[in-house]
Amino acid sequence: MPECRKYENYINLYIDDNILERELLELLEHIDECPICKKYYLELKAIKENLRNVKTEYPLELTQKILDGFNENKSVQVIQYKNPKFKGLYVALASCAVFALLMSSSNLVSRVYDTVYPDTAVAEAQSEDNFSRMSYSNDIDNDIQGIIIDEYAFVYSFAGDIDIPEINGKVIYAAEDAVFIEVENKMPVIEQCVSILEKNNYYSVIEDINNFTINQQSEVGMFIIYQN
Amino acid sequence: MTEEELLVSKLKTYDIKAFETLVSDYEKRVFNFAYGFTQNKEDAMDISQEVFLKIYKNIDKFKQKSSLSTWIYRITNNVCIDFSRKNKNAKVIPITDENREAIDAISDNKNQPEDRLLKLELSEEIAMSLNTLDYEAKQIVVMRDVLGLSYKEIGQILKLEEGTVKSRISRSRRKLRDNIIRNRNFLKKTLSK
Repeated sequence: MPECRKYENYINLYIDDNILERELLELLEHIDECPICKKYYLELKAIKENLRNVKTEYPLELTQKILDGFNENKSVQVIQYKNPKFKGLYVALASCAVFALLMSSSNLVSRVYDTVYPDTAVAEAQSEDNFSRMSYSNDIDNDIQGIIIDEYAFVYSFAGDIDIPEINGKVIYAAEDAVFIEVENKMPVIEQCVSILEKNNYYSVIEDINNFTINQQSEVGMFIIYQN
Repeated sequence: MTEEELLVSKLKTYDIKAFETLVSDYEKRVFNFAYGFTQNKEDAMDISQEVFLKIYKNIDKFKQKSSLSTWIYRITNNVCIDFSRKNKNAKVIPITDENREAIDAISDNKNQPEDRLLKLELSEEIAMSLNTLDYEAKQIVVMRDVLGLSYKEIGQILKLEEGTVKSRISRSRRKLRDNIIRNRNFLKKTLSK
């Protein structure tokens, strides 16, 4: 019956304990006269009561599984590349560990960018709790900055357009405006690794990270370098 | 600064202790959501792990426009839907004329003076029928009836008006109820062969 549709809504509100008194009185009057709605009410009530039992014993091992997941993804732990605020740079030589990482990255950065920025000269780094930052620039407007995390050197804030060779790789991590890309030839360091940034916005949304292909024509705004 | 704001600010610095607190606060809710969705313990564990990983990787994007729990439920819901898309094993039993008759008959008080639906064991049937629901219906039934979330909370998670939430709940429960009857009919038919 068409009017039963209205009472179906009331039945739902009733079993949710969200019905107004006026509506409830109306509903009760109706289901007293309408066996179909009365039955429907009893069915929904029984279903709702049983749905509360759709639970299982909580697996105690889950906490560890979740925490293990964090640890396995430690290498992409620090992706704080937006608006970095260096609290006080110091020259990479100050830390042997940082120095070693930075030098290998810097050489790579030089190799990749020399054609574009032949005057690239200054490398600085800042050591933080679990990662190092590096800054690599030839002038104020064209900074290349980055962080070094485990085996990844992550370079970002690259201003300006650049011609790069076409490169295909498996994206192993994609964030809002940067990607890590693993390419086949990664010894001793990956030759080039880039993310595509949409014009003006300098980022792209990557839907399918496993089948993402760098396109030569895309505008480049960030570089990510994978070291083995 | 509220306790939640403090926790979020620590999470954004990737403070591992803060993540442990987060896991301890939310793991059961996330797991129950996932279990309600999948009816499978192992799958629910995998989903829970993925949810927390997504939180971990995306915490810097959490702008606190909603509460942390809403954001986490939203992620959980998305992961569950992804899971459903990838695992389309659950077969929906089609409505045939015969099944339709059974549904109609069971709803007809004159032909069925005894309330068969209520007399049978429901829990297992509900779990099975919940699994055969489309994910739009399933997500809302799980949120409302398994987790007991309010209309307002569901609206925030799904970005829906409260009125829409109510009508979806109503529609989804009807689908579930019809599924229960349909599945029962299907089972009876199979067993009698």
